[in-house]
Amino acid sequence: MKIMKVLKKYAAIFKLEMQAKMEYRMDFLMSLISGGFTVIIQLFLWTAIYGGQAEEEAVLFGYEYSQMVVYIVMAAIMARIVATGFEYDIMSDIMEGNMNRFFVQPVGHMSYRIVGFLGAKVVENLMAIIIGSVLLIVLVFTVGAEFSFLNILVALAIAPLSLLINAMMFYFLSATSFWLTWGWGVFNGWGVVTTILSGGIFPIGVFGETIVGILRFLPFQYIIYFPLNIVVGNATRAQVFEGVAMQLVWILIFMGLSKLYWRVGMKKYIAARG
Amino acid sequence: MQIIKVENLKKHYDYYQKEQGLKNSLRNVIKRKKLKKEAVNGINFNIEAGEIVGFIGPNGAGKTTTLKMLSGILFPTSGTATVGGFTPWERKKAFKMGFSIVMGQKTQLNWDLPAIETFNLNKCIYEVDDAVYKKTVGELVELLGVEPLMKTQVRRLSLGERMKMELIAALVHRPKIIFLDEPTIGLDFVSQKTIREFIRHYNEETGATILLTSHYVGDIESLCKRAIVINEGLLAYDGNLSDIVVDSTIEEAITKLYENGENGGGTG
Amino acid sequence: MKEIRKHLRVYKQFAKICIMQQLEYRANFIIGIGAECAWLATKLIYSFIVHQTNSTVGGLSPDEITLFIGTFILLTALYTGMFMMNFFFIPHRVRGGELDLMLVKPISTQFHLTMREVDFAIPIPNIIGGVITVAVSWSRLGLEAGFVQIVTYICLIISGTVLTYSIFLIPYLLSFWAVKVQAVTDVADRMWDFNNMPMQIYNNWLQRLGIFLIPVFVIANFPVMALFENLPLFYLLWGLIIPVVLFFAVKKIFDFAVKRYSSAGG
Repeated sequence: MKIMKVLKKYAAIFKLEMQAKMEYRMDFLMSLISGGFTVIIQLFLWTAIYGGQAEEEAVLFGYEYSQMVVYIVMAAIMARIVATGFEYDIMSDIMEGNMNRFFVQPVGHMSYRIVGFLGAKVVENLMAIIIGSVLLIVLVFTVGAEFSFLNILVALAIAPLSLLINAMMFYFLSATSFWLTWGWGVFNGWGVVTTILSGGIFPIGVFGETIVGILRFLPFQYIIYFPLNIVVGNATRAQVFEGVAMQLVWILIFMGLSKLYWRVGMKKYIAARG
Repeated sequence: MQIIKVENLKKHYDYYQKEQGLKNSLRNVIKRKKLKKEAVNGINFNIEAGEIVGFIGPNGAGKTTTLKMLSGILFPTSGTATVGGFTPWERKKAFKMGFSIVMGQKTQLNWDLPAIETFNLNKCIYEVDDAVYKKTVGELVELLGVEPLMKTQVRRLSLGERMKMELIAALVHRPKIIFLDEPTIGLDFVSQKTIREFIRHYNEETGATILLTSHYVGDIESLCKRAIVINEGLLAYDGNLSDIVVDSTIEEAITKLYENGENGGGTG
Repeated sequence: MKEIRKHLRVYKQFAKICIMQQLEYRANFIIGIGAECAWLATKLIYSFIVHQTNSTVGGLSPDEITLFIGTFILLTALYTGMFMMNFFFIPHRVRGGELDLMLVKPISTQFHLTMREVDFAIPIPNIIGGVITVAVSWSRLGLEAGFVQIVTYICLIISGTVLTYSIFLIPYLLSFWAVKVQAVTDVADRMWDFNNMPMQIYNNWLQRLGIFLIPVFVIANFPVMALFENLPLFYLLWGLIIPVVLFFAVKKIFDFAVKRYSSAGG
């Protein structure tokens, strides 16, 4: 019985955020267009680079031309899928003193935000997946991309974990607003760093072996690069298992860190408002 | 000399109404119901140089719209006005150099810095000489008693202190014509009194013409001999304040004027 | 002439106020610099990639491309320092009525609304990064540009900045007519990134589009092409004339927008 009640509560939060998000369909559409601009620039760039190579079927950073094209297009879609945004809501909640409502409601702040986030993303991500599938088919006919159906299923199964790492990371980060009046710059800067290091623009192979070696132990590449590398067909079975393990580890690490960081922040918040 | 002349001034504007519900939202996309608001509907008055005139009326009567037209912010739908010899909405530089408007609800001060920075900026904008600027600001600061606050960021000032700074910023260039829209709104009694005294003093010293709107009868009563009452975009009364306050308080007299305006809708 | 001198004096005062205000929030100032460093890195990665793959793109060597990217970074410094924040605030200032207080001031309203804010944090990494990138690739190329080329380069950077102002202001002026313009302005702002790489990477019709229809390519490409003595005379003239034409066009649009603002409203 109790479990049912809890589930109902979260279902309500999920639905609420889903409906709220529907109001912003236009913004989503526009973000796709501006994301498309970046993809266009990349496509021309890589076409020029591959075209300028001496050998006929050049392999750069471990990618053939068709693989690179698939990667770049899918990376833009994946970046949309995992993108958060609640950090700005949390910032304004803290700045305007609206955190109090979470003290009186019988729901933890973290679960509220994460469940709400998932609700907000449902429709958007379904659309993103549909658009992604269409683009994949287009790429098969235009650049002769090849896929294994199994790989795509594996990547889709892993995608929720990618989404969670990113969400937990930004949830952790958003507690910074307890100390900084204007966390905008932090979120913006961190967002850019994450996009680069997670392979949201280029496959991380371009950074060279040393950096790739370091990135293996950091959370970033498991957000975008890892699932996409499976789609492209460049990941071995062992790498898939290792990647999933790393995803789970990082989700747990960020959960733990968030609990700590938020507790300290909340203390400051309450003390300041007495 | 009549420094402000207003003739048959009108401001009408269109707006759209949205009924409740999704169906109506969709209908709005295709065809919206256009409504006309007659904010100011043909008013006439003249003001002599050096006068302080109270401009009163209930919310939405058209006071602010009129002041915005006289400042050149808004274009009228029809009618004419001259302010200091200029048509305001032509926005001639010489016109702008000679007047000032203070809106109690809006600030030109920079929130994060001491008000003196805004004074300095206005000095450049209004091309005021260094010596004249120093003298003017020095006097104003002393009159309003804000010397100790000159190094305080505006966001740390009280509402009353902020309004005093707002007045100084608006007077840096010694304007001949001043429009004050609700200069005492939200202020405590003491601040209200200081600001009133300051306005009277400034008028006596410089001979500036002042047109003032206020919700507080006290402001009008203590500052203005003459009142212009406006209601629903029409003039309800223009004349000596003492004439309408014969055997009633000023509140009662004004309320009565509003009611007349609503029934008859005629100009005063 | 007297008016120009006055506006320069007022601009100095704007800048002074802005720097004081930004230093008032030191943490944000430093974070702003940090965040911009991340953006700077995204621009430099492109140079890194063409070096790694040793690619020539449209006849340009990796070092030549890097010189282009450095110029783009410098132009970004000018754009973000002088215009970006102002444009950003326009919808807010129009709706919130701050514009009213600007209309009564005896200075150009367009100047006041679009030049009021000067950002000091964002340009710092871009100026440093841009100068270093240009200097390093310049010396690696052993470029011996003559006096004429350098003067043309600087002139075209200035006219590119005028062009930046005109092109990127127009979408924001929509806020005089519509309430929600962010979706449109976000997309328009992204066009800036098309200058991250030399226009030679794009196909012919896209190049023509970016030179003649929406002349964003003129901004960063023409100065560098002049430096490499690779700019046809016709392009040079276009690069000097179109900013002036567009600037006056934007002024007309602005006047029209303000006229509309004053005619409606209440």
